[in-house]
Amino acid sequence: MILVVAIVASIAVAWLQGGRFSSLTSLSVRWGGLSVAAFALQSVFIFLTPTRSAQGPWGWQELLFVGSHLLLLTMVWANRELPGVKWIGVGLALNLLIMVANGGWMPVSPEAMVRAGHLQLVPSLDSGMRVSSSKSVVLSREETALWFLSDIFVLGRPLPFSSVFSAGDVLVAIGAFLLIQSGMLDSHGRIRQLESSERIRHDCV
Amino acid sequence: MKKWQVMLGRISTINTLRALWILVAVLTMVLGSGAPTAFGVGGGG
Repeated sequence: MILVVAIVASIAVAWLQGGRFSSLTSLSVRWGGLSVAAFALQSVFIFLTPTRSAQGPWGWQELLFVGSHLLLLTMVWANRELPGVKWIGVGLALNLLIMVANGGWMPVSPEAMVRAGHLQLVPSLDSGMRVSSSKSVVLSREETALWFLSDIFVLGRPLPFSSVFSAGDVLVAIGAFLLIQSGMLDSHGRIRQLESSERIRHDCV
Repeated sequence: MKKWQVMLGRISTINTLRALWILVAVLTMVLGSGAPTAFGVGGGG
């Protein structure tokens, strides 16, 4: 939820500052199809595959899931010059690193699940249990490699957007905020600048 | 409707579609890169 909040907040802030949605066209996003394909692939595993235990050797699901992140990494690299995309790239790389180190899924501790109040998303808090509708798998801190990169930050209830997220997610959220701000505001600022210089030129004539 | 108004309408539609496509590309890049547990009602956001 932290990512959706960052995107909605960025659009709202830009709007309040006079930004335009149509100014997003000033962002020359390359290879956008890659991110759409990667997201579609992830959605299949997140929403359509049944929750199951994810322990054991890597299967085709884990390989395709990690592969979708490599597609995203390629797309991020192609757009690294855009404002905020470097933040997204580092966040994505950190998330990918910990997922690869822990069998292809994002580890979350049973304690964090309890604090966030998301017990309905797992049949049990046994190690290796996939969390429904997410990229996560329940793992205790002792069993988690690179635990400090896992989903350790908790926004618990009664907050409306209860969630558990990682350091990588925070960087991705910052990058998303900056990218949308830049798209909606910078070009608007440029348009205003052009309009005013045009007016000055007109006045001079 | 005059010809230039039709042209302007077309350009505006194309711009809106381009802006929407860019928003979709950015959204999928961001949501796909993150890995929070639970979306409120479920999901990768």
